[in-house]
Amino acid sequence: MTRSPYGPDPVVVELQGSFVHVPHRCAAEWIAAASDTTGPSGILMPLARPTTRETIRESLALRTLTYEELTEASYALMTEAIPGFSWWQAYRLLMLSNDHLVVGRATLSGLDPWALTVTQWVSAVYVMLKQNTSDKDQFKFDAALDEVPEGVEADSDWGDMSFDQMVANARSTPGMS
Amino acid sequence: MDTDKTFKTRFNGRSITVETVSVGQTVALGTMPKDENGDLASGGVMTILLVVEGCVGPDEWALIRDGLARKTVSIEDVMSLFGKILEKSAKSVPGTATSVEIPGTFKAVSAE
Repeated sequence: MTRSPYGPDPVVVELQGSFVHVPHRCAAEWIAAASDTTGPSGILMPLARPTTRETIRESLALRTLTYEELTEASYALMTEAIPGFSWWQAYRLLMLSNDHLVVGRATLSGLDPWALTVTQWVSAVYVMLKQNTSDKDQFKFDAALDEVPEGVEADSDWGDMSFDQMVANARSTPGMS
Repeated sequence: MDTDKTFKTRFNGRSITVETVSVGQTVALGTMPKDENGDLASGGVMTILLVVEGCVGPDEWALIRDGLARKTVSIEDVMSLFGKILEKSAKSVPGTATSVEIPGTFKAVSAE
């Protein structure tokens, strides 16, 4: 079942074979978590319940939980909580949300990160940043958001598409005609 | 165990082998709880002790814990060992995302 972009449902992710329930957090809390020193790999920690956070911290300290396992769960959390975006697109949009240009435009548009789900916020910031910009700028922005981070494997959007289909798709992208 | 380095040091009159801080332990230390003044909360000391335990291993930690109970090892000795571990470690959390520029502007915003 697809997760609703509007619903305050908790997210469940797997960590070392156990299920971790992450409660609903508003967009403002997600933005703060993304800005945390742990980066995307550790975003699960500030968003988890305090007791879960403490358990994760203790496990990392004792080396019974590895950084790689935390990273995998954090990426899964972003993917599950923010449907329609890859985790790196969502993470970049959350980080951009700290920029004064985005804060100003969001405020003038009446967007309140304390009142929106993270999916609503990320979608709104994405649309807002593409409004009233040239096709070329939109293309550059999408390309920067889509760029797969180093060391991360992404499923190809091209799948089994033929070369002709790929060319047609590329040509239909704004700024590429 | 995500370790990549060990070193020898003197502790309580003995030479012991210690692993440097792992990336995961760096995250644990970086997220230690703070009080409203920004000072380390009591849970932070527990994190430090767990990091030392993780770095020295279960056998050596059992000896240290025994020494603490018998007062042949002090908490200052353990904190001093923690300081040595940090000195040898100097590690940062690797980044994974790159910069994104807001469309229509010249402002580059770091996403990591």
